[in-house]
Amino acid sequence: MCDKALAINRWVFENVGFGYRFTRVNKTALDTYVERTGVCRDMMHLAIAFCRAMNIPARYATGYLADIAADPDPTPMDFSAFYEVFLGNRWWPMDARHGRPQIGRVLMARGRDATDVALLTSFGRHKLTKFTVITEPVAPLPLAMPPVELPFARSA
Amino acid sequence: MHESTVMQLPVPGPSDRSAASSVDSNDRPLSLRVGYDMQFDVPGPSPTAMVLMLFAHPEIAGRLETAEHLRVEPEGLPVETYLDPMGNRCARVVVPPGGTLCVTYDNVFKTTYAPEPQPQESTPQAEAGLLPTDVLPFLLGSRYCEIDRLSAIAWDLFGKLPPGGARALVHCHSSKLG
Repeated sequence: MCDKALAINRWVFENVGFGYRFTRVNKTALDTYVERTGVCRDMMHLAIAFCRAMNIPARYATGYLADIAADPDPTPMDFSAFYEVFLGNRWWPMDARHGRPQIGRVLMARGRDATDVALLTSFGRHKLTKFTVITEPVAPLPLAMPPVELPFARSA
Repeated sequence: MHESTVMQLPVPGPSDRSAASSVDSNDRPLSLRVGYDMQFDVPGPSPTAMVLMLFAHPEIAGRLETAEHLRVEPEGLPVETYLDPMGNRCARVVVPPGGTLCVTYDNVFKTTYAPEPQPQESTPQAEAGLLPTDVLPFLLGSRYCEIDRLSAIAWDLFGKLPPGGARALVHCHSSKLG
């Protein structure tokens, strides 16, 4: 039964606070569990570790994500991590940051965790001096977009 | 998770015509502009090799409007593309010392307004002995996912879900910890 997979997704969504100031390159799933904060990457690592501990295969994924079903986000557009769980003989996308299925995701890479899918791995000195990401509908969104509800009642 | 339901768009009531048309609209096509603009300075004194994972995944690349193209400056800098062992498309570039690498990408991805599919609560979890073997590596710990340290916590939090199914799994799990 996939109750566990859904419960894990919900637990991380509800118990780990999102914030760019909370992350660091060496932050692990255990760190995220202890500190209860992180960015999307940290949240997915914790959800993945929980899934694997419960014998549910889980892999890390990253890609573009349009701001359609997600809560409004004032920060600049960035790539977005998610993860996939193997249930019923197929992989399913899950997102522990947003806690609900998304609209407009474009997969770029998959791996065991973020190590496997770094957008840049540099063998020498470099300095990032510009970084912009675009993910937006070509045409304006329809006015009557149905809300994508959380798959559970949010705890108070 | 008794209150949990699998994500569905709100089911419209018989009188809720606007909601009904919204649900029908999920299959409407959605064209997404995707791309980026990045710049890296390489101070030297040595050249810097870089591996970029900045393509759409080959599995979905067929839904791009135009063939993938990573534009790099300086123009003429060799870009070597390859698939890594996980099936991801990568590019290697070597930036000379004192150089600036610009990487830009622009494309349109064709999808729909349908939310991502979700498993049902009844979707079965296969026992490890029945999983396809290529899935097994994704049960193991990795650099950022220390399942050895998180197992006891995970079982405290989620081990009783669902009732009945958990006990059989405990056995599998303890043998994994060996």
